[in-house]
Amino acid sequence: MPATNRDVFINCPFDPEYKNFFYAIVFVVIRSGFRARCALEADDASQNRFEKICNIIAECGYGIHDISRTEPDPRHNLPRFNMPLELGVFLAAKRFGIRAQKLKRCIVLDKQRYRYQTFISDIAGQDIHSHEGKQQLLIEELAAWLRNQSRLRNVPGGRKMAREFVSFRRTIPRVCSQRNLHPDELTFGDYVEMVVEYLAVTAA
Amino acid sequence: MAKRKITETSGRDGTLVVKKMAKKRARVAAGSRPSNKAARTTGRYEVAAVTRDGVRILRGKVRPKHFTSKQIRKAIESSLSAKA
Repeated sequence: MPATNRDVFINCPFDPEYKNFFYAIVFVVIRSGFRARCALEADDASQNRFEKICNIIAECGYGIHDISRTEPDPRHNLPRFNMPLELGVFLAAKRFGIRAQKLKRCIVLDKQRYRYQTFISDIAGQDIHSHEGKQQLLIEELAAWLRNQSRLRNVPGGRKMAREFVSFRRTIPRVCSQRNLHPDELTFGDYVEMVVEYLAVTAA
Repeated sequence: MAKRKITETSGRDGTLVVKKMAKKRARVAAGSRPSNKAARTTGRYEVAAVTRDGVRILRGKVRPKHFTSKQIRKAIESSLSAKA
C-alpha cells in the first residue's frame, strides 16, 4: 500500500490551541508529496462520525498520531480519548486487516518521549517521537519521517520546510481578507487548497 | 468446430456486445492500452504542481468551500507581489 498510496491520516486535536500545529502538520504532509486526510474532511451528517473516521483510516497508507494532548482537562478532570482511540483503530486495521491494510505505517508523537507509558503503556515497544510542544521540532520530526517513507531524496529537510511554513502562514490573513473571511472560518478543504496553491505559485 | 458468429444481438440484453466492441474499437483507434490496476491507483491523485526540487504536490480530496482554486491562486499571487 505505501508505495502507491499517498494518503496520510492526521489524528490530532482540532481546537484553537493546537491549530498552528495542525496547520504545520498539513503543510509538511503536502510539501513532502503526500495527501493530507483527517476527520474534518467528512461533512456528511447522514453518516456516523466514527464510521467516517474508520473509512478515512481504511483509505490511508500512513498515519500521524499526536497524543500529546491526552491529559486531564481542568473542567472535567478527564483526558481526551479521541486520539488514543483513533490510534487504536489504525493499529487494529494494520493488525487484522487485509493484505493492503497490513502495509500501513504510522508515527506517534507526544510531548515527551516516555510520557505515554503512564497512560497507554500497551504501545510500549513502538518508537514514539517527541516534539516537546515545539512547532519547529514537530516539523523536523515529521519531515524526516515522511522523507524516509517516500524514499524521495529531493524532499527538503525539516528546517527548510519550517521556514517555508512561516512565510506561508503570513499569507493566510491576506488571502482571507480578500474574501471577507476570518482565518478561523477556513474549512479543512480551504486550507489544503491554500497550501497546494501557495506551493504551486512559489514553485513556478 | 465452426466459429460462433457474434452479432449485435448475441449478448443477453442485445446491446451489451455492441457496447463492448465499440469500446474496444475506440481504445484501439486511440492507441491506448487497457487500464491496469497500477494506473488506476496512481490516477486517483491530481498533481497540482511540481516544486523546483521535484516534489509532486497533490491536490486534496475535498474541495475548498469559501474559495475556488483560481481565487486562492490570484490572492496568493497578489499577496506575494505586494510583499515583494
